[in-house]
Amino acid sequence: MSVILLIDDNDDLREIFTIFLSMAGHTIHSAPGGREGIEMLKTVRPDIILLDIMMPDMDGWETLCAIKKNPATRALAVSMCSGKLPDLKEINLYGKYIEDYLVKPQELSDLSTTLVSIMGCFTKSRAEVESLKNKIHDHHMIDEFYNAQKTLYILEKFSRSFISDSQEIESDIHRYKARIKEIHDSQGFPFLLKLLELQPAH
Amino acid sequence: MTEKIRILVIEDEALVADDMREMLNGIGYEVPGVADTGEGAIALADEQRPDLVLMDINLSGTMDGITAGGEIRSRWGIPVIYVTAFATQAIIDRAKKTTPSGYILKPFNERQIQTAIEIALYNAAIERQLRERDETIRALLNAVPDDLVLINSERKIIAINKSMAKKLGQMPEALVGKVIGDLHNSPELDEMLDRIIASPVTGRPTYFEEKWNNRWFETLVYPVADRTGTDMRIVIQSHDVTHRKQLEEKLKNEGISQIGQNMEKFQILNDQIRNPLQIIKGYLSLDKTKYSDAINKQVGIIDNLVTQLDMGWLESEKVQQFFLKHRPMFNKSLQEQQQENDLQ
Repeated sequence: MSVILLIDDNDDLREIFTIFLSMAGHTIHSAPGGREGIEMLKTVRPDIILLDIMMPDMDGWETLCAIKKNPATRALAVSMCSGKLPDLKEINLYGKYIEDYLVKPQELSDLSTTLVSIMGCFTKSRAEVESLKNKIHDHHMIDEFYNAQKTLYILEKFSRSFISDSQEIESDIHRYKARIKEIHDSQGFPFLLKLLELQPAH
Repeated sequence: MTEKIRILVIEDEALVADDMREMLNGIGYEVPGVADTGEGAIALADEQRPDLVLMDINLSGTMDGITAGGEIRSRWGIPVIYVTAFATQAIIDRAKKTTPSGYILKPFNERQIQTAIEIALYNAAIERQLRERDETIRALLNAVPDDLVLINSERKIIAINKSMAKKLGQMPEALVGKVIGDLHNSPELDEMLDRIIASPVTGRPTYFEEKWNNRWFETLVYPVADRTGTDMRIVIQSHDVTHRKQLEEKLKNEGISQIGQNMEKFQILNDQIRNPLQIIKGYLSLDKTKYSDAINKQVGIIDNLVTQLDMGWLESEKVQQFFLKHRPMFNKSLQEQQQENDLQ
């Protein structure tokens, strides 16, 4: 079972999440804010961080940046969990740093399954990226490919939340897809495709 | 007591000059000086600045009366009456070109000279008034920082101020009589003039905005009837509103960002609503009651409503993006203007 760090400023919400995830057998650490969460990461190494966005003082995006800037915590999986839908700007800025974006309210009886899926996908993707880096010299290219794929996943997940004919999101999706294809074709390695298949079930 | 009219006598025959002075004094004029050459006449006129000059055409010395009279008239606007005993057509033609105020043949009596002088002074006064009125109009025209043109119903320029002339790249005098449409290519103006000229004078101005050399102008077209009410004249006034336009644009952009801020508040509110929904759902699944499904259904309805608000926010953002995307055209011209200003 997994170790989960929950960062959310709502006390009741942390409590109810903790109850459900504990029942599923996970170890839960929870923090009421970004600063406290980051402090907790000095002693705890979670398999995934469930991060709220709208929080006073240090919000979720700031917390995410702090986690991803710190070499000690950079490799941790983070999924946002918010009552707010992401906007296009946020997806383009932070999409590559997150494994998923969950919108409240979640069906709590399914939450464990959702998180396990995200973690599983994360672990496999990481392993795939590492193995690719052993085969392909251009690591930067692989990172870009991986980042583009992650952003594209979030974009597509929320593409229906945007107005259906939104040209912006369509053109963004197209842009990421084109870049992914470009990198894929330039490398000429079929294993990149494997990475593409790795996405959390939603 | 009113000041006496001051008249110079230019005459190379001393006795005649003396007679004239006596005659003039007798009528009630003052004669502040007498000269017998053309050069002397000019110097004396400059010194005395009289109300009128009586000028003999045949003078001793190199300069004759017509040359001296012409100089006095053109330099200081002093009216000149030529006095001579004889005149050929050639002399009269030459004299005419100096726009004299009168022409008297010797010998003359007191009555004749008084009449000639009074008519000349009266005409000079009228002429001065006209000149002053012209100058007043010109001063008024040029005092306005706006571009002003007065045209007739044939669209020919009757009067134009410096500002407008500068915009057309010519001196005001050079533009009078020209057709406005040949100088300024403005479909809006042409169309408006078509309409105004075709309809009766309303006395009400109409206006439109136009862009000229990267600046914005509000142009006012104002039809006025002449005194008889038959011939129409049209005042065209262009006021530079670039600054106002810039402010409007700024306000508009601020308004857009205000909308954005309000929407962001909505977004935060939605997040606040979803948290309790999440908690209710959580407790419900934790402790099933016979009403769980009904409560869950209501939670679902609230969640849907919040989602619709989210959609609204995203749609507004789309509108906002649209607005901002179409700003650059204007912003670019602002930059161009800035560069122009910098160059100046």
